[in-house]
Amino acid sequence: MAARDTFLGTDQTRKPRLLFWELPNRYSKFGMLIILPTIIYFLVFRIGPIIYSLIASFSDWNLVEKMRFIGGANYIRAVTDKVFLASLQRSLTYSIVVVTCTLTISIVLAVLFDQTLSFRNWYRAAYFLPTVISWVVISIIWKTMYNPSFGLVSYIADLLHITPIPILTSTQRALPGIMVIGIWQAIGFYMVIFLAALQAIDPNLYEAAVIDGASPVKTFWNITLPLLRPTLLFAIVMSTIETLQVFAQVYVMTRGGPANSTLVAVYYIYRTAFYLQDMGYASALAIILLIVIMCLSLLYLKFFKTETYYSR
Amino acid sequence: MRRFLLYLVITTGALIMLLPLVWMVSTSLKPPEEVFTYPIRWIPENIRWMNFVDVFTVIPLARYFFNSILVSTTVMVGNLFFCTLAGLSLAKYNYPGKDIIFVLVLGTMMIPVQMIFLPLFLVVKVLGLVNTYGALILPNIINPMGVFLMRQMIMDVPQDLMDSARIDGASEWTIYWKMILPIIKPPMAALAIFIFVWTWNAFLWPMISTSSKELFTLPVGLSAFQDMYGTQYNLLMAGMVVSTAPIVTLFLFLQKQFIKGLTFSGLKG
Repeated sequence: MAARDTFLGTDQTRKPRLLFWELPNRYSKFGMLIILPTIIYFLVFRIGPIIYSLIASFSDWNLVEKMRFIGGANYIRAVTDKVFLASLQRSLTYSIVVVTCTLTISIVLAVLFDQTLSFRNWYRAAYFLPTVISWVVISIIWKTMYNPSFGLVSYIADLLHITPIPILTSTQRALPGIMVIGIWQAIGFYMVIFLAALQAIDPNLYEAAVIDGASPVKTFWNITLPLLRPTLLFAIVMSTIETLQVFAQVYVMTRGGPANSTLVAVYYIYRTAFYLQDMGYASALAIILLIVIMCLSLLYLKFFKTETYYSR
Repeated sequence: MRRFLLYLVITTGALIMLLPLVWMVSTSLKPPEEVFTYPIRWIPENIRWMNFVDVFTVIPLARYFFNSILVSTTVMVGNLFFCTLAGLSLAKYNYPGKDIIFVLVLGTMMIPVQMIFLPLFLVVKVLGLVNTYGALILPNIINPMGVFLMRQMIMDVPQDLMDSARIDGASEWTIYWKMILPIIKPPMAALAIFIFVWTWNAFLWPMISTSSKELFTLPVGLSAFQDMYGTQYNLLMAGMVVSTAPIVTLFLFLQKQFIKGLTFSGLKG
């Protein structure tokens, strides 16, 4: 019997494809029962909304009157909407700057913390603390610190004998000011992620490098960084998704101003939906943003997966 | 020498990380006239503890606090229950359509709630949940990442263990409750903390789905306070200290689980 199975190429452990009414035993019924809430959840709160918003994006709708189907007009409007395109570009700029700075700083910190240090846990906690605080609280703190008349930033500028400069009221400095906060909040999180990855690297590799007389910088480029590749990929995708959603900071600190200089995509969508009540158009914008995020994530995945994968 | 430089760098860095929080605490203890003193006085001349009492009367901070606790706890418990159930189902049972469900979970993991806030609002409106606790709780009651995490953990539980329990006559429910849950306690703790903090700090969704003051969570309440009484910095900061203290305390006590939760999500992702 066993020999015949091998001969026919059928594998006994292969899960048989079953139709609903052919369920083999009560164990599977239990399995189906306990997945039910998850299925309902995903249909109602994830898949449903996306389909709903797809439909809405092809219509003119202000929540009060009935949805009116208008074809692709919203999408055409979006690609010619200079304010939206500018906000999308601003989001991307924000994302690229914040992701690059955050990941660079957090890798350096992780390498520093990978050594044995006294008070290591205290240091780690200090760097990590901003990550657990809500964006609203962080934004309000920084908003007062940026205040030109009594804020900390002006004070420090004074100490360094620089003329204090307004930040959030300046069209050139408001977005960089918000970027700084984004970096400040996120480095602790990624530091911990990288630290975990570093501690999984085989110490023998470093010993070999020392014997070969490699400098620390060389060791970092040739051993550490390639081994961090999978973690780095994860960190880039995750932080890109996160930074493209920047909202609370803008809402609390500038409301998109001055002169639209901090108007990012999510805030623009929010404004279109809830101030202008233009639900159809806002839905189209949200879908475009979602597509941009997915394309970026796929691009990163492709870009990073090409070379040899070092695994533990 | 290198050692000294290293400590210098990380200590300076740590101070920069903590300075804004020190600023918050310092301002929260100042009388109104001292908020604007220049140069900055880090330790106020006249410490005003009454800020912490006053802020509760200026805004319904106690109510916001209650809402945050209620919503965060419910969402956390819901996630623990449903994510472990779904994880068990996906890891240990076989039925038609299972692969599709798993792909669905993985696929939506990349789409955070913040990104689909608009369609989600439309659905919640259709369900008549706008301005109810349901709107704050239900859309977050299951987290795709939690389902995925729990599945990975339950995959590692030996099948023989479950089979021998079955032979001894244990029901499927008993196996879940008495066998699986105790084994996966550490990752569950990590998930619990993760979800709690995430819900506690959420802003965009609670702001969109609630407009009545009775339902405001702390971030929404603080943001509204800032809009209305933006100049009462000492009270504002006192409110922020009150709303941040539980999370920071939780973090300091449960640092290990906290960081484990992050690295789980990081390395398994």
